[in-house]
Amino acid sequence: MLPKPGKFETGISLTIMLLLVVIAAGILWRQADFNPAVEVFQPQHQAERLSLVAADRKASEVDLVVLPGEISPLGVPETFGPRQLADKIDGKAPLYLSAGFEKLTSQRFSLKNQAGQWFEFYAYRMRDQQGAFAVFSAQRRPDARPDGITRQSYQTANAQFVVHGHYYLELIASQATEPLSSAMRQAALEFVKSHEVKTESVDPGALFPPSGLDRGSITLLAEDAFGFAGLDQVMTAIYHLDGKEVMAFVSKRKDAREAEALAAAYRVFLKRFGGEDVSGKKQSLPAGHMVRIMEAFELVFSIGPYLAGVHEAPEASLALTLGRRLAARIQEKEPGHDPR
Amino acid sequence: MTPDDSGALQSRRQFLRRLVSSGLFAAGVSAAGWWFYDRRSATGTATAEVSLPDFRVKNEPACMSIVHGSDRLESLRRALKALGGMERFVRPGDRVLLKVNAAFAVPPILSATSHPDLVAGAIDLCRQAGAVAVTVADNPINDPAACFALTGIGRAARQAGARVLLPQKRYFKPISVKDARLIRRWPVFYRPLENIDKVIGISPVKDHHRSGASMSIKNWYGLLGGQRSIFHQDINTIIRDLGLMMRPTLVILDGTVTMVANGPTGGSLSDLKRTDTMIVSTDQVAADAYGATLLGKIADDLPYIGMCRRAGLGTDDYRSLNPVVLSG
Repeated sequence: MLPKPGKFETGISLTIMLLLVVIAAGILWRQADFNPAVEVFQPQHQAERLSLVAADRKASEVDLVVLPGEISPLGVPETFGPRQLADKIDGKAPLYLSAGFEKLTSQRFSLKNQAGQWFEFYAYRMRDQQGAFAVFSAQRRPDARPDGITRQSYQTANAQFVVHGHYYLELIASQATEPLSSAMRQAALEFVKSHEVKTESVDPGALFPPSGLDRGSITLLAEDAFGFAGLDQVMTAIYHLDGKEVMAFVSKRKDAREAEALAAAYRVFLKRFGGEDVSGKKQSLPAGHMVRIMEAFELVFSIGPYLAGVHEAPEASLALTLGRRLAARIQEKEPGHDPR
Repeated sequence: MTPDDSGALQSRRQFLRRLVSSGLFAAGVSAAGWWFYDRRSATGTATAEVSLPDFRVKNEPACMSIVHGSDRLESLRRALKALGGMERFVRPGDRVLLKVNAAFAVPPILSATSHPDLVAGAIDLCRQAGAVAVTVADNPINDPAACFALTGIGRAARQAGARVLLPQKRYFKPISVKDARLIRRWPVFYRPLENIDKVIGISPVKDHHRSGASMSIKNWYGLLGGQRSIFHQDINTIIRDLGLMMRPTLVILDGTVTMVANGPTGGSLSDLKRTDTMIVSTDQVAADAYGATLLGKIADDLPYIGMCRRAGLGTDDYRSLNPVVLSG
């Protein structure tokens, strides 16, 4: 049997144990207080920067689009990858990154003999057409005028915005003038002509019932829809019903089980933030759940692989009316599923 | 010596041996940790750290003025006059830094950057107040030379008699800000701040996709170097840190035209709204709290404002400063 340790040994041992606890606490504290500077030194990051510099040199040999003589390049094209996108558009980068951004090429062009008249052409290459539509729709301007360059394109007083397959194009002028407008249109058309893409013929608004729909309001939320982290790829549309604005939403999930589970999770999320499930009080609710939250009504249901509903309706009756029409439309387009 | 004593001695020896070997091992690990510790800042250099001084005018209570009008220069003059004139903040012989927002190489009509007319007007007022030198600087997001040229700020500043300082690698020094969470050993565009007595921030009121707004405090982001976009992941904390980093003499928040959507770059004139307001304040938190209203928000909608208030950087209750409000 080992002899009982003396006071000296016990003291030393306790001191060491205490020291180890202090060291562990120190390590935990330092880790929690992470200094993001270390990220800058990641080899992967450095390598990507170098490859983009090389790509820049290559890109600078070829203009983004070749335009007639009166429109000339004001500089060489610049190229930005996902890690450099913020170097170009700063705080707007997360919007693009969450929608599947791959590469941005931008170049300025000026009108000959017209001082101060120039525009910048931004060609964002996204992962797919849905991503291009997401960033296009999320930034749609209220004074958008369709310009017929593609099915999804519009112009404003000084700018042009176009979805062309998986490309999202922005052309922004230094002044709101007709010559610049015309030059930007020409540049956009030239880009569309010279960049063959696989265009999906899917109408983003196909699942929304047409009556009362504001077609220009159809938006694809790539992530964090309605503040809920699990809700991504959500198509929303504004309806004008009884003189009031109501928003409908649809999101196609992998399968019916995922749609149903996500609907339930979203309901839980709403309730966590003070929402009250008033489904039982609404006798005519055919399926799904109605949650009252902050003086508005949220209707959530699933139909097969679709999660759908009505967001922040000012009245329960409006949510119900639009919800029924939305469910009927989805069933019409994708028969064989019942709302749940 | 009894057998018991021999066992105890053996055990004590073992204990001491283990203690020494554990100590040596711990010392070795510590030495390795010390050896591997990277003392460089995000610039990759081991330059000595510096800290920024407090540029506020001593013994002056916080003050604020809000002027409604469509003429930027006139609004600025009236806003400053209401507070006692630029000479209350800039004394004869002062060297002044005007930190503009020249973040993007875009034309002034987009209101994504400080307006060149306003920059020129502020330089003029500083010089009239007796400033011996006015420097205009920013570390833009896009290419600096292109930014200062295309925004019109470079030319306006030079014509008004200011020196324009474009960032160069050697103009950055790593700084750590006391109580800051993110700005630690981080490179800052330090050269324009050397031998400077007063710092004035001039920024437009803008929507910001990540933080909800880009105004006076976010404007100091343009002093950061390195791969600063990483801070977008914790945007409110970095804005609070910027407030801790820079205690300016004055901020000029231009809400003559406000970018109400698709910020901070905007792009279309339809992202803008005429709001005809000029805000001048020594309290940058109060200035931003009022600026929020031009974006159709309140201070509580912008988490960084509350964080700045709690950090003791100013008040989000701008009314408590009894601002002078003038209409056109």
